[in-house]
Amino acid sequence: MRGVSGRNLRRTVLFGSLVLGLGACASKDEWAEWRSHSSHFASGDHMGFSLKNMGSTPKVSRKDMRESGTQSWWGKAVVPRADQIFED
Amino acid sequence: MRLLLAALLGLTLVSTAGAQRSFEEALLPLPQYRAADARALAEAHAAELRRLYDDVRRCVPELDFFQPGIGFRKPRGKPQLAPHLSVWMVANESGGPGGDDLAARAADAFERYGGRLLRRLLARDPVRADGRVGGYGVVLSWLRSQGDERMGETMVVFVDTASATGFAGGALGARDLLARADIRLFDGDAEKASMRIPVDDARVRPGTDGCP
Repeated sequence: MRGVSGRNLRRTVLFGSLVLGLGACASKDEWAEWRSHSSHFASGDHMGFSLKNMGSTPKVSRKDMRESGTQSWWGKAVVPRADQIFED
Repeated sequence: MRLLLAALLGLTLVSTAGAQRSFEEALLPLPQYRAADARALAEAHAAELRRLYDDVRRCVPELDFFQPGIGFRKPRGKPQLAPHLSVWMVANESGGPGGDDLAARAADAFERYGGRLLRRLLARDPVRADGRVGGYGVVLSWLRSQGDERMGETMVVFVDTASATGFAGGALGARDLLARADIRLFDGDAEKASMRIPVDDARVRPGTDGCP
């Protein structure tokens, strides 16, 4: 019983950390954008695209580009990273 | 639970549609400068950067700042150059340029916004008089919708101080200015091979009242 509780506690702490960490990544405008829609994603494809592109260099296929239009995905457009433009 | 986690993951990819960025969000923070000469300029001209933000907000209200979008930056691959006073702006979908290809859209973007933004940069007299400044930079990103497809595109223009001053003073047209500029175009985050921007001098929008 004690072992199960410990595992649940670890899971809770891990999940809480993830939530807090990811929530901290979102800016004021991102929260506002999120609240402005009635669902978290426009479609399953939109969610799949977001989940597979958590890194700094998103991979965008022609299929993604088409679906973003037909399914009205929201989010920011892919633009160059600052280090592709500037020598800071 | 899974849905909540997915939503939070998705938040890192969504962004601004409504409110415009504040000055604090638009400004490149001092700790992010790696080049000492650029950081020194940002410190010395902090008040001018604030005035630049206000000026661009007033004179080019159709655009928003990228985050961060204001700073003294050097063109990629040219660390030997002196820092350029630069802005990185974003057009929303309705304010994006038109045209059949990337070069044509970049030309339209420069005609609509590029000249006006360069004039705002040059209006900062203390910066213009500072010999440590090497020139000016305008970066403009927009969302392209074509048929069912949507993609971000970006135009990057760096010019030296003499050319920018000639343009703002009317001695140099936009076509000649761009012939002297360091220009780069991106489709998404993929850079396109060097392309000429076929700008039409007659279509470059002048400043409006109070924004010469």
